[in-house]
Formats: sequence, C-alpha cells, structure tokens
Amino acid sequence: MEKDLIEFIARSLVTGADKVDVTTIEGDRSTILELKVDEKDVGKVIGKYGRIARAMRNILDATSNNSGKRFVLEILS
Amino acid sequence: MAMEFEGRTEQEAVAKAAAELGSESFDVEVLEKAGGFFGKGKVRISVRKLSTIPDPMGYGNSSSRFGKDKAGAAYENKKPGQGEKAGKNKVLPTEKQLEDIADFVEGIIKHMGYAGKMKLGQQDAGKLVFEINSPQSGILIGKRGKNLDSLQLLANAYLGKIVGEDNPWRIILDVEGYRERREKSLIRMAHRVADETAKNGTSKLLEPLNPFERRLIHTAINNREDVITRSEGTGLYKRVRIVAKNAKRKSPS
Repeated sequence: MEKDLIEFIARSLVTGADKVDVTTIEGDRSTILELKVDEKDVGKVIGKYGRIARAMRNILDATSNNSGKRFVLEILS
Repeated sequence: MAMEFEGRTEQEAVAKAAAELGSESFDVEVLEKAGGFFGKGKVRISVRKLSTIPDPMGYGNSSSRFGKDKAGAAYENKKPGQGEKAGKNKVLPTEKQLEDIADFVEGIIKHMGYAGKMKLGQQDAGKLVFEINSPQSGILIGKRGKNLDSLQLLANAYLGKIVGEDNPWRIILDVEGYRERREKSLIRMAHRVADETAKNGTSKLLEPLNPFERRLIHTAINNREDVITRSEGTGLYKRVRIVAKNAKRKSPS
C-alpha cells in the first residue's frame, strides 16, 4: 500500500524513525499522503533541491495501483 | 541487407534486433514512433548489419568500448577529486551494510507491489553496482530511467545514513544491463543527429538529459571534426545542442 511505502522509505532515511507518521486523505480522484517527520529530519526526506522528495514522488507514481487514483505526497513541516 | 523490428520502445526493438542478428554491430534507423518518446506506443526500426555499410566515422563499432565491460562499469558520474578519494579507500562496506542496502531497495520494490531481487555486481573505485532482477523490469526502469534513477538516489541516501558522513561509496543500480544500453543508444542517437546537422549545415537541440548523459554526448561528439556541442538551458536537465561547424547562420538560442 502506498502509505506503507512512504512510511518504509521515510523510516529508513531518518534518525527518528518512531516519529514518522503518514496520514492519508482520500479524495475523489486522488489520495493525499501527508508525511510528518521529526523537525530535525525534515531535510532528510526533502533532500538537496528537493531531490529525495522528488524521488519518492516518482516511486509513488510507479507503484502498481489499479484504482486509477493518483497519489500526492506532501511533506509537513 | 536491412531488417525491420518492432517493440514498445526503441530499446526493446533494438534488443530484439540484437538477439536476432546475434551481434551488437548494426546501424539503427527509427522508421516509426507512436505514442510519445518512451510511451506505451510502438516503435518500428530498420536495422542494417554494419559490415555491409560504410562507416567513415568509425563510431559504429562502438561495441568494443562497452561490449566487454560489466554493466555499470561505464556508468560513472564522478567529479574531479572524487575518484582519488574513492581510490584511496579500498575498504568495502561490511556484509551487514550490503545486506541492509539490498533489503532497503527490495523493500521499496515490494511495497510498490512488484517483485525484485538485488544482486551485488562488481565493486571498484568506490562504486557498488547492484543488479536488480525483476519480472517488472520495465516499470522499475521507467521513462528514460526515471524510476531506476529515483531508486538509486534513495539507495544512496540510505547508504549515507548507515555509513555516515565520509561515505566513500556510490551505489549504482542496474536492471538487465539498462545503463549500458542507454549509453549506447544515446551515443548512437547523437551521432545520427550530428550526421544530419553536418550534412545540412544546421543545428539541432536534443531532448533534456541529466548531467551524466550530457557529458557522455559531449565526449562522444567532441571527437568529431564536423560538429560541436554546447549545453543550453538551466537547472538539472539542460539540453545539448549539436551544431555543424559549417553552420550557415547562428542558431537561435
């Protein structure tokens, strides 16, 4: 599931794995995944020039989901 | 003698041709492309064995440059100095670290809903090449390697976390020799465009490419006398323009 995917990646990259939380907001055509991490770890999930965030979004777009829904990743800070 | 092959992508068509001809030395001409550059369309190519056509530039037989190399060996994106740092450090990551990396990437692939196995390939000059074996190799590679590059970036971020600040290694992920195939097809495409611009005295802008891919093209084309290359645009994905030396007028920029 997409929520688990983002949780898995974020937990692996941050130092405060227990502070990682993903909330899903279901919409008609898209599902928003809100990623919350410890304040000191925000840079780890965004990366230089947002490269990590972009990579996570790419991976999210490439998952096998046949619901036809799009997943949108938002990083809360 | 020309033969025609079809595939969902140019690469797939070329791979079919390679399997059929049992050789990598052929010239490829794209006859028909449908459904976007690397979309779910159809690509028809015409293939000629190189021995039957003149090859004045001598670039067609590029297989010697890549043929024997292990996949990934030719794929490096290092800045000056980085190599020395890596060269000094002959230490390899521990078994545990390698396993953790494999588990991390396999974990992502599993969570994406696919199957995939990581296998460590060669390691040298600070490069750790992993081969991903998967029945869903196409989607793991993605458009122009987008998904594979994303997986690779995440793997390197993870490596940085488990190894620490002075991480001397770089992970390279490969699927079914994609890195090598992509290099070959880029160089082939660049020479094709160079031939065309040199003949017509014009210039042509290539599609946006990442820094490594651009450098590959600059290096390959700068051996030629008839054209020059330059980069245009800003940001990560600049574009390379190939300009004929005898260009009639300055191209718009």
